[in-house]
Amino acid sequence: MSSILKVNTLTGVSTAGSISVTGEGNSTTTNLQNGLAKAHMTYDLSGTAEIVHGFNLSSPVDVAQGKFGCSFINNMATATEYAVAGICKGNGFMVHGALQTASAMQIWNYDWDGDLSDFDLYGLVVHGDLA
Amino acid sequence: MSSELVLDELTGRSSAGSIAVTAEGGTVTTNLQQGLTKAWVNFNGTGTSAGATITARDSFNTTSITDVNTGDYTITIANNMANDDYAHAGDSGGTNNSSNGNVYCNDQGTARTTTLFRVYTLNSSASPSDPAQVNIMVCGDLA
Repeated sequence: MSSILKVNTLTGVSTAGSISVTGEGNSTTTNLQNGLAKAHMTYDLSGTAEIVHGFNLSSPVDVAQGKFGCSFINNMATATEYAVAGICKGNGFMVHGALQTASAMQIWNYDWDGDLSDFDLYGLVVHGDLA
Repeated sequence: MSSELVLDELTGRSSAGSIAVTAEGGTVTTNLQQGLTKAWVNFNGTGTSAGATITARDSFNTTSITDVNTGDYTITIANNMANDDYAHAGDSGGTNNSSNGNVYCNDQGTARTTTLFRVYTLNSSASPSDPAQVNIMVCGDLA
């Protein structure tokens, strides 16, 4: 029999920020909070710069050619421990890391000559612990 | 009226490992388990020699990282994946965000298993390079 639970907020009993979820194979559990992406964004620079889609990130700020900065709406727990993965459209790649804080990060984008370059479209996902 | 459910574990009723969640648009459902990232890791790819174990800055559901060679790492998963068809993606950055690394999530040289996969990082000249930050995320079915 199918059942539907209607609820606005899920909170752990033992630890407010930790809820186990039975995995697909029914034999192990994963963790709801650790498995949820804490921020993601699709950023279009082909015309007027705009966030095509965004979650928990404010509008990017153009820092310099090939560089933009993003601020988290709800901060991450630490400056260095969260993980970011992203891609950019075109013949280039995205790097980050040294300039990330709990509240913001910079994304730098290079072409394959190693030069900072602006691209039309960016996508990124953030995993880690929220503050 | 707002409601809050306080609980320690979520398990599907019809199938333990499958819970539908009404999506943002309110018209279709997505799947809770399928939507969860099953493992992620952030580690420093520099400063170790071949064969050394790297300690993650932070991670979820990984047990170890091994430095295979320059720009070459294996990641071990704690709770196994159901099969070797899972997806992993990553990115990397260097000191001062220099262009010394980008993750290439391929399995060249070592076939991925339910517990282990291998990633490579190259610089902008397509040469193996150790970045100061490597980030990997894994999606797929848990065992």
